[in-house]
Amino acid sequence: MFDVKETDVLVIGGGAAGIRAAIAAAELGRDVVLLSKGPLSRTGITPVAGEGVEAAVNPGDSPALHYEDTVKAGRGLADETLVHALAFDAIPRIEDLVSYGAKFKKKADGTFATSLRPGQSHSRNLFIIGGGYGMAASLFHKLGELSRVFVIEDAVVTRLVMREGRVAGVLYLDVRTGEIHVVRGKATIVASGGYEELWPFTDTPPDTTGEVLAMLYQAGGHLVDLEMVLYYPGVVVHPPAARNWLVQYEYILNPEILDGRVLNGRGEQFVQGFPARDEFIHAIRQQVKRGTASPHGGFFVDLSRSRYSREVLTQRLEEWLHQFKNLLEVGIDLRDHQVEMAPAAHYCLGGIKIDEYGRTNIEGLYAAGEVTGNVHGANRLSGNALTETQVFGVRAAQQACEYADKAAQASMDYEEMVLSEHRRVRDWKAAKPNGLRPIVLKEELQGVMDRYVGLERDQAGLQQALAAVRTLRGERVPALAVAAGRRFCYEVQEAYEVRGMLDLAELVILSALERKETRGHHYRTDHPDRAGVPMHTSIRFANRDHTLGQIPVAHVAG
Amino acid sequence: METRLKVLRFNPDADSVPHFQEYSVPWSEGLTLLAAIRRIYRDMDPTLAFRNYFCGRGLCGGCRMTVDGMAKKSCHVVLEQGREYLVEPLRNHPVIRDLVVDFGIRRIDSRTGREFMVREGVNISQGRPAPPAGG
Repeated sequence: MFDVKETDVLVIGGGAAGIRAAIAAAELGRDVVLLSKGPLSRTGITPVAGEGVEAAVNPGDSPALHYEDTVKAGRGLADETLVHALAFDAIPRIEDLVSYGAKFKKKADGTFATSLRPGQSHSRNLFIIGGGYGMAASLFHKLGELSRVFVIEDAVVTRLVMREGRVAGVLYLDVRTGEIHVVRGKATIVASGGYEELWPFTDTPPDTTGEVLAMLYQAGGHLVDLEMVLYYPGVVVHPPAARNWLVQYEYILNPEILDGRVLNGRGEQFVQGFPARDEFIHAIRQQVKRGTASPHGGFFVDLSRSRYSREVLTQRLEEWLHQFKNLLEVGIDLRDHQVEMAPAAHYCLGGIKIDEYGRTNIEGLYAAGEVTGNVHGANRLSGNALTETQVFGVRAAQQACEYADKAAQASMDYEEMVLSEHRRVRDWKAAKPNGLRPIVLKEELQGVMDRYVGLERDQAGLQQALAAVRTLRGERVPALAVAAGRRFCYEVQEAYEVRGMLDLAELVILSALERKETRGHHYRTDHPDRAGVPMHTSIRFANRDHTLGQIPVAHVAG
Repeated sequence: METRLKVLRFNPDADSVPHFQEYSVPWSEGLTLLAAIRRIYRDMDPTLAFRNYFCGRGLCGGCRMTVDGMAKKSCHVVLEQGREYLVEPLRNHPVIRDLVVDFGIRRIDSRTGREFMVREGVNISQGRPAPPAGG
């Protein structure tokens, strides 16, 4: 038996953007259904985020400066109208978080403590206690008060249903029971996050697979800059106990905080000053090419030459770098051990295109957070991602509510669709010779992306990648085989994920081929210079085919 | 070089009581319990249910399990070579299957203002079957 829920606003995604949108819609008096892939506040990318959330709170700073720094960091590709919204709504959204119980580090005088990050003209990163998890927990806490929000956890969206040119609703897999259910919404907000798991080395959880973004594309959504993937320069690669843990180089290299060094495989310093993420990545790649990088293709963090005494260092590590304590839990002491780090896929700069109100090109469909594509550009300031979730979560909700007031539920012939999903799942569960597990297919895809669509790309490699991905989609997907059983059928979730990952990978590669220049985090060895005029790469599904092109960046008038 | 995990399995749809299943996992320096469980799922037993999360920050608690009788974050438990570990789901949380529990959704009763948690799953009884004899 399947369940059909009807609501005013359907929110897909239980991270910071999704929960904030749900709160806003509920406070505006609408009914909301929120679908989360896993347990709320412990799932998705939000809990993995660092402590920094950017807002111009200090005297001498201003939203106008926040705006300018962000536009500059975007290397010409950020849509200025969106950046304007980000910078000017940041402080009110921080105030909301405080009212929900989020705790921020404070100075002795009670004002927000902030840290300076590369690219900021003023110290502007507030420090949220508990990082992304702390933010998610405070949002989750607020949600408890809002009876209009119906939360469904362990819900994997398997199909976006389009009717009459709008999103009529979704089908989702309830992983706990193996059932397929329906949610119909008058308006839909997508806040499903990024797709870092297309690559093998990330700091994101395994369910960051992007299949909802692939569905948006198939529904006619306008996606931009998919090739722009922000790599975080320093994620632990060795020792294995801490593998995939992000350790913030912004504190390590800051002479006012830890005064640490980063060293290549020969123990030499190889970066000057306080580099932005894309600059740091390029420096690491130079070391790899010269054969002087660390054994796993990265660098070592070294605090032994810090100007600070062990006492001060310890106090600072405990205060600013909570990974210090985490690392101690698994026997690694940053004060004494050189920890090896390498670049890891960390944030997806591209995604679905929105306007400054969170509207997409699809009627009744809004988007917020990492799933959107034109906020930051080719590189992102530290701390702006968490700010983005709050600013656009609210804006998207405001639009969704207005639309829901005018719209009726779109008609939906869901019985047949539910049966069709069950047939699909039965196919996957059927015994077959040479059955392929989704986890293995994910690794095959990740191997292709790592080799040809990683930190450096070129025409020949991208063409190889495209052929390989098309082969995987054509030949390997039909061989998928999953464990039987309905209760907590995680492997069925993985099958849906890998199917979407392959669809999305093709779009990412096509976009990377389209951008014949090097800008920010997209590095074409065959086109090492920047083009004259920055343009978004654009990809849309129209007339049954991929429509690739370039569209201008939005500028603020005057 | 190996480490042994005795994991409590329970499928409310199929089992009337929980039982322990033993896995021998190849050991290497720095192998965490979470990494070992993922290894079992990938290489040995696709039916083992666990929350495949990973905040990389020791914060989210999604990986919490009961290890040798104590609640631990499995991402922080570094396994020792040649040792044996008893691995059970987090206690006092309803079990969905095997190591997967429901953490609960917080709700406030709008009339009384009191907080309560909405949870699904099965409460495993406190009595446990003895681990298999012979170690």
